[in-house]
Amino acid sequence: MIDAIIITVKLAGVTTVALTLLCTPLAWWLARGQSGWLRNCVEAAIALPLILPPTVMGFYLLLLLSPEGLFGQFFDRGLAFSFTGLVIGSCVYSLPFVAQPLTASFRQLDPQLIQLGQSQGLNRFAVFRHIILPCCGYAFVAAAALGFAHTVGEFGVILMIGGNIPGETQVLSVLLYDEVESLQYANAHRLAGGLVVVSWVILFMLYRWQRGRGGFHVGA
Amino acid sequence: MWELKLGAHQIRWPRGAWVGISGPSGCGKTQLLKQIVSGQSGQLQLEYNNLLERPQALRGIGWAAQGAPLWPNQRVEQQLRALAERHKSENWLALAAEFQVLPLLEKPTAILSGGERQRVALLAALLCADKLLILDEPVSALDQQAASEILMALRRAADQRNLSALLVSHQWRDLAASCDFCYQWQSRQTLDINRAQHELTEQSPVQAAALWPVQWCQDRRQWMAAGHAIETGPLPTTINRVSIDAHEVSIARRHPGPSSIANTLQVEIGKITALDKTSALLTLHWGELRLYSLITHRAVRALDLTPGLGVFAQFKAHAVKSPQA
Repeated sequence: MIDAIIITVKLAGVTTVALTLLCTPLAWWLARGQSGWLRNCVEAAIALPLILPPTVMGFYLLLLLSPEGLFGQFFDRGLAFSFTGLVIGSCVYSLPFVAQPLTASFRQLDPQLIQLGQSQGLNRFAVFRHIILPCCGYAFVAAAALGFAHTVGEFGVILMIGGNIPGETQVLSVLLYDEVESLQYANAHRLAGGLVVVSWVILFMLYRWQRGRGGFHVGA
Repeated sequence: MWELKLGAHQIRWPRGAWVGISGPSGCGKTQLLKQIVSGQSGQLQLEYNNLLERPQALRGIGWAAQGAPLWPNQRVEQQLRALAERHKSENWLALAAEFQVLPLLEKPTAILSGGERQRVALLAALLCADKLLILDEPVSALDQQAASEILMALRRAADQRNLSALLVSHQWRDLAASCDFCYQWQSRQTLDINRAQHELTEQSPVQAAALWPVQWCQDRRQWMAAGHAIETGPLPTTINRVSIDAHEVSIARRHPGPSSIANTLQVEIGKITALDKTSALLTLHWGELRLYSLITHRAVRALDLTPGLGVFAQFKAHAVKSPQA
């Protein structure tokens, strides 16, 4: 069980960091980009994991990441049934949960503030640090928390592309499935209860923090 | 020499001078300033170098935007210190004292009042400016006295570094307090600020009188406004031209002293015409004015009156008439 906890936390952590890095420029383009129809196409694609059954996503990912697949062929044994494959699958599946809060937050940003920062001689990094991050910091925290919590709770995609290899791709939700299948209800209770409590605490802290601060203060 | 060419607008002004842009609300003044700041079109030349071709960090423009936006969710000091470090301004604390920003340094920018925000935004623009300040309604939230003080402090600090400025304000007093030139949006003309004020006075004296308390300054023999040595030109509403029919004009060599029924003018004798054995008609000049006095030959001899002599003419007013009457 300890192995499964470590793999789950590691998977959720790596996925959250990767998605935050990937989604920041993506959300910026979605919120403020010029191209109308292309943006709508990408937005719709990003939102697909919200409505598709995880098995559909898992099926296509399995085909892509298998040793003969479009991406998997570039790796010795493919990417399916490996931790890297799990990270890719989790990133695709949790993408809307990270991208959408960031996009919504960037849309509300006053364009005059960006123009002001640029006129004050700030480079892109400084504009991000002094203007975008203080305005949208809460959205980054919300996006990261949602991404993390959603990855912890992922099941279908992981089962499809990760298999169930203890110590490598077996995460808590899959282990729980195993325990129920083998009628180990006591273990299943511990896992299920633990996941409920952890997820609830993450969401509680997020809402509590959002209400308490109403914004994001840098070094105040 | 500065030169701005943007759309239909072309403004030229000397280095170090301030230009106020005046025009009706909604004509696009703020948009013009934003276009200069974004630098996507037009030319802003200083000594024939187009600043807008440079990267924004190297243009040396300080912008105080309308509504005084500040860095969000930070303390005032964080913004000002970061800007001062970025633009290598070592005396920013002294400037903060002059702009009355010192008590605000520890406050988050979100809780500042409108006037406080404008003071901080002006200081931020000053820290960023190396060549030009672009000020969009920079003191609209301040009362008249504070607005003038802060504009004059800004002008002093700008003059020390030979900074020019483009200032948009709906208040003529802001332009009068700080600018050297006025760009009139509708006529596309850049006028000396005094000339612009003069024109405004002539075109609309009622509005001018509402803008400035106008007083006649005896020492300078000028119309003065709001304590500034400003040539406002004649105010048609305060001058009343009349003609006076003089009656019983008498002549004296010395000033006859105050009188309740007679008026006294110092005049020059033009011509002495003998009418008959006893009477003579004197033509008296007072500038362009002519007075005629009927006196005796004896009086002419007794007073030793000759053409060209300066005398005092006393007369009763017979009728006061306006020229049209």
